[in-house]
Amino acid sequence: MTPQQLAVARGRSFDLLASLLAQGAWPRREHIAQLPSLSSLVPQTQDLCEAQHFQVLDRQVHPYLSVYLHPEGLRGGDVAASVRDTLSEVGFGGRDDVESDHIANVLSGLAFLCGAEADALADHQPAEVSRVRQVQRQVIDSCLLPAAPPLWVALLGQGGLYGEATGILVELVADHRQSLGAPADLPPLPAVEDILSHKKTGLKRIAQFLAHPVNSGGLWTQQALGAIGDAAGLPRGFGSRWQVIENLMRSGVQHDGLPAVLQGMDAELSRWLGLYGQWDAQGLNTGAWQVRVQETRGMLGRMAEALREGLAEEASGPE
Amino acid sequence: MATASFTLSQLFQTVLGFARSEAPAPRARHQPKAPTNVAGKQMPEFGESPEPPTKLTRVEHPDGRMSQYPPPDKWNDWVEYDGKLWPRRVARRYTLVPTICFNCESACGLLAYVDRETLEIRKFEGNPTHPGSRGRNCAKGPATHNQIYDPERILYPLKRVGERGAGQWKRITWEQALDEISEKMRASRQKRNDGIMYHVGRPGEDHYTNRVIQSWGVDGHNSHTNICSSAARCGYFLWSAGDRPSPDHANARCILLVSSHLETGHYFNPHAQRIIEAKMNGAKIITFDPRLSNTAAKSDVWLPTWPGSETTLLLTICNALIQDDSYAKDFVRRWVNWDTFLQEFAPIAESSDMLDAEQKAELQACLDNPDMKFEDFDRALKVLYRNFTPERAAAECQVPIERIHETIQYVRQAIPGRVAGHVWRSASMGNKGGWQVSRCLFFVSVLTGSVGTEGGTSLNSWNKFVPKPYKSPPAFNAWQDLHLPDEYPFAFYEMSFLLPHFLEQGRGDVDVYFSRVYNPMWINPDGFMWLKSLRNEEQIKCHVALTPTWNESAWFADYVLPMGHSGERHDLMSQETHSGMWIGFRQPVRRVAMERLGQHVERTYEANPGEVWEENEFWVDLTWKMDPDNALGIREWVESVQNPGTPVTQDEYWAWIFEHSVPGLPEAAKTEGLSPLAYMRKYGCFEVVKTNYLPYEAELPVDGPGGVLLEDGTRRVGFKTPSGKLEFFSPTMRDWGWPELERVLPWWLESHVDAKHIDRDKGEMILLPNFRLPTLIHTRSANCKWLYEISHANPIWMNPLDAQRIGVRNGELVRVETRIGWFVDKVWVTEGIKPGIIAMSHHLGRWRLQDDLGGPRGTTALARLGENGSTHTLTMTKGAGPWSSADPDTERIWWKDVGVHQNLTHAVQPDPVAGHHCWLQKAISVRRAQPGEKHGMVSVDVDKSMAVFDEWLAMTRPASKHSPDGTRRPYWLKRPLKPVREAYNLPDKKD
Repeated sequence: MTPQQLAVARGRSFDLLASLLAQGAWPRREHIAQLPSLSSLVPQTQDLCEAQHFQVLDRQVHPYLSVYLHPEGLRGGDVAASVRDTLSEVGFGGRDDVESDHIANVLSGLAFLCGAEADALADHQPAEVSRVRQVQRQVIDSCLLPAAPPLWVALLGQGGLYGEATGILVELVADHRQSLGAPADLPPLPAVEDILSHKKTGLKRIAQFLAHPVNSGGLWTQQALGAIGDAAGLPRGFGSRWQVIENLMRSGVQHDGLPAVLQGMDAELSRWLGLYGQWDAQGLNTGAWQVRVQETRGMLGRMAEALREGLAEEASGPE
Repeated sequence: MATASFTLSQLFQTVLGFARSEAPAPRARHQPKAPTNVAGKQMPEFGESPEPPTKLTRVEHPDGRMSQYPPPDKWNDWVEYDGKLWPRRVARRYTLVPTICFNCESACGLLAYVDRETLEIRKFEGNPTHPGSRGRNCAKGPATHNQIYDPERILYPLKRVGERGAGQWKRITWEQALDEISEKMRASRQKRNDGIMYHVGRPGEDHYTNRVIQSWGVDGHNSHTNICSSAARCGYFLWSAGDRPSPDHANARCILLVSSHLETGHYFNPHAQRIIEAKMNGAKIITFDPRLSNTAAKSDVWLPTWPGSETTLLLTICNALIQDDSYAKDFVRRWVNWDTFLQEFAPIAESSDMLDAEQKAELQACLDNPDMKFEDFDRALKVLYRNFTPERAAAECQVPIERIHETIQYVRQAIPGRVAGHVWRSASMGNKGGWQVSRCLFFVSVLTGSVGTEGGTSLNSWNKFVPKPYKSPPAFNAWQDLHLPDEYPFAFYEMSFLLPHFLEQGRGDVDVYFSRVYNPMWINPDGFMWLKSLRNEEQIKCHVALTPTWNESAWFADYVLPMGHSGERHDLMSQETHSGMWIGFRQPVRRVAMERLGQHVERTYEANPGEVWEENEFWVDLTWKMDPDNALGIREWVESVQNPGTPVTQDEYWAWIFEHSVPGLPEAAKTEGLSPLAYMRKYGCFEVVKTNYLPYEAELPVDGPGGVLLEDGTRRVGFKTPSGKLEFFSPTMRDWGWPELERVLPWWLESHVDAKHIDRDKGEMILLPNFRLPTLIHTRSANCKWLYEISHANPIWMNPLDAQRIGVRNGELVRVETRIGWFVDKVWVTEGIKPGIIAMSHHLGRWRLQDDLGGPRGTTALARLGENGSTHTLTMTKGAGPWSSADPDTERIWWKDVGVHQNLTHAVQPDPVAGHHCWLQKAISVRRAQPGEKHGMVSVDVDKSMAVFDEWLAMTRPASKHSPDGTRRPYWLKRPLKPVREAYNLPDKKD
């Protein structure tokens, strides 16, 4: 494969995955069907494709990068503006069907840049090739890698078409980034408050804290929370993610199942950590997210310890 | 991931084989469309706007209103993308017309998005300027669109051909319908003033129809209140002369809900949003309900009380506050009729079997003091209620005592004034004596000083505003004994669910019977008795069904007249959604849109689909034809003032009201350079008063009339009770034949389903039918595809312990036997219901008798009626399924089960005081279904129906035997339409 073909192939791969994440499988179903690991996972009708897309990227996983870095888990703001500005400066105007910080928009930007690289290669303009590759690196390091790892983890957890596609996407990004030079140093995530040190911190506050990816190191999807509840045999109720986390913990307290909840959450954190470590080895700098997950494990560990102490006191009874 | 089966190099090879990445399809060029009006026949189409979407503005409000919405100054010309076409960006241009939802009684604001090119309605969303709903809606509001574009809706007037119920109809003109019906009305009115009956299900408006009925000079108003809210009304009324509570949920510290009927099903949207606001601010929610409702699940304390024990628990709360002196004594001293109690209670206490000898002796000491001090009353309260202990409540209610202590603690923390309480159906409508539930709940409000306070509970009239029309007909001189018979002097209100039983007894007949947005045969208990009457042309001589959609009762009508849905009619509404006071204006949105675009519309039916009329114009035309020369003095009430000799128009009628009857509205309109009518057409609502707390404390001239003179020498507005105060002790009950302690005071009454009457060892259970899933709208949900997709079946909720005992698993069939019949339904095994009780949502189990007519095929089951002597049966022969229509969604119906019509098997159980139907049924047996007993089967013996009716009738104390003054009913009790005083005289004492 020539460098030009490789650039075209990368560009088309980014483009295909961007389309999948932005619009679901239906518009590019014929192309997706040609990929062996995905072909059997494409639903048969447009309705089903759209329902599948809605279920994964509206109900379970936020595809907006800003959500993963905002201290309150909100969309838009500085992150979205930064992505828009970065892409705009490199000449990519953005997709018109999603917001700027939607991961599909960044992937489309990379597709655009790979196309530019292929054009420069075809035109035998090595300086332009070098510049475009520098820009690609900038986009990956400043737009994608700071926020995408927890999004990828969450998508992988969904399994099915989007889980498989995410596996391909991570591989593609890692491969491409490696070809662009040594990994960059990414800034650490902002420090978080030690909420357990406050006497008034209750389950609601803990749940709200954990619900934000930037605090906990990843995204607690409804699916993951449901699995924890099922494993612990506890009701989790309905509501937003923080409410479900709170419900889980509260019902854990009420039904002597909090250790099982904490254990289930720790297992999920462990899964995140394993993936982050694997990607780090592939040159995708996930150090900041690994640190954050470790901190969260520490926090849950303190809760578990406090619980054990409480139970021990209870068991020993009054003096 | 790095998949073994698929490498990056394979990916690259594959994508290099693509012809190329697909370019977006070119956008179709915009083609202007002409206006259409396809509702009921086609699905709507819309124009495409070249303009970009209008920007939403964000305005932060501190008081719970929405922050982001289309601003009213942009409503007339609004552009936004069509979300259904995503990811294509297609802009649509609308005019946004406010109207009022009709899908429950809370009158939330809606905004209709009317396409400016096709004039079709794209959707209904919330009206952000509406003070009650504040831009929010529940699922039922947007589903109005389903009703408008329902392919099964009735578009033309129909007249029966052949036998009643034979299912043969012919299309007639409105002229013919009006001529024939008005002729029958005129003939009836000329010979009697109780021959016309208007039986209303969902009023959905505040005065228009009642004014018309009053103009006919007949006692014709017949509501569904006795199967809905009469018990709660009675209890509140005895205290306060207000028949409904208006809790200020948003500002409460403790919210005490006896069930959550309104909060999850009825006034759901305005209440729920305020309850959640309060919860976010730290308020505690306490819910009594044997069923784990959505609200119970969100509550701080869920009290799954055994039905009939609720008053014990409420009085336990009261007792706790009384015994530790934490109740609001100043308020009680000032506003409760304790002095009358001290003066008049002694003989009642002496003869009561509710008190032991010790209590009687101690009470006597309190009552003997000639000085009559409040301290005596305080001591008397302590003696009276001291046996209502947490231990007793825990045993009777079958709830953990810790939760009772927690409840008391939360109530106590909300003193003074911050307890918001509410009860509507549930325990009050479920039990014999259920009117004492609301009375005891209001006792908590009184003792906590929470009456009319911020965060407390007001009376509905303080938060509801009903403007006066330009003139009103005089009260009629008539008394319809089929509505308020001798046996029920305290009924709140007409004994409508007993109409067929009264007719069966030969008490009378009806010349012209209007059922209006009502399906009496299906929604009332003992539906086969209704079937008998609706078929009997001697009992009901002419039945006119005013309905936008088919229903089981309309099938047996003589005329079916299509009326507009909520976006197709004018109405004025106000509800007690919170502490303010507002009016909402329901509008025919297409008509308003046409007028905004410069078209002249004379009558609403010109804008409605097919030949759908709005009721107001129908009433005017019908009344005019009933008395064309005003010989009966009727026509004048629907005559125009501006153009004498012609019928009043909707514009004239509403313009007068908005100009003259709504304080502040003309001024508000003036600031915008609009007439009051134009203002209401623009906004669809107006806030009359922002908050209205403690209106009873308003001071009046000391020497003037009205109000009540208080101990402090001031005269205050007070309450409309005979004493002007809150009546803890009810002399009215005593004087009208109910002198026992347990009726003259807030007290516990034994329910017909008290634990002692349910022999669980024999397999008896309680059937709890008086709840609904929150998306249901009585009969009309069947025409809302979105709502039915969410909830369409009503399986029997059963506790796992009972399921194990009976030997059934989830989804299996059980046969439930009541006192008059039996039915078969699936079971849903859940811990969300108390052992010993089975529960079934009402509003489900719709059926039709003809495959292609009588109800939507996706939401009703095809059924067969059978009759063998006194035994009637209903057999479902085909469940729901897909069918082809103009709406492609009808081909996507994926469910078959549309529920079971349980109400047919419910015996009528009229409470001897409030007259409400006591919904809780004793299930004589609940067992696994046998071969041949199929899902949906119903069988009822109507001879048994009449036997149970007679049994309950015998419990009454008729006015003719107990009236203290020769009248039929205490005059101060409310009636929806009150006749002249003379009509109150009992027949043999009439002047």
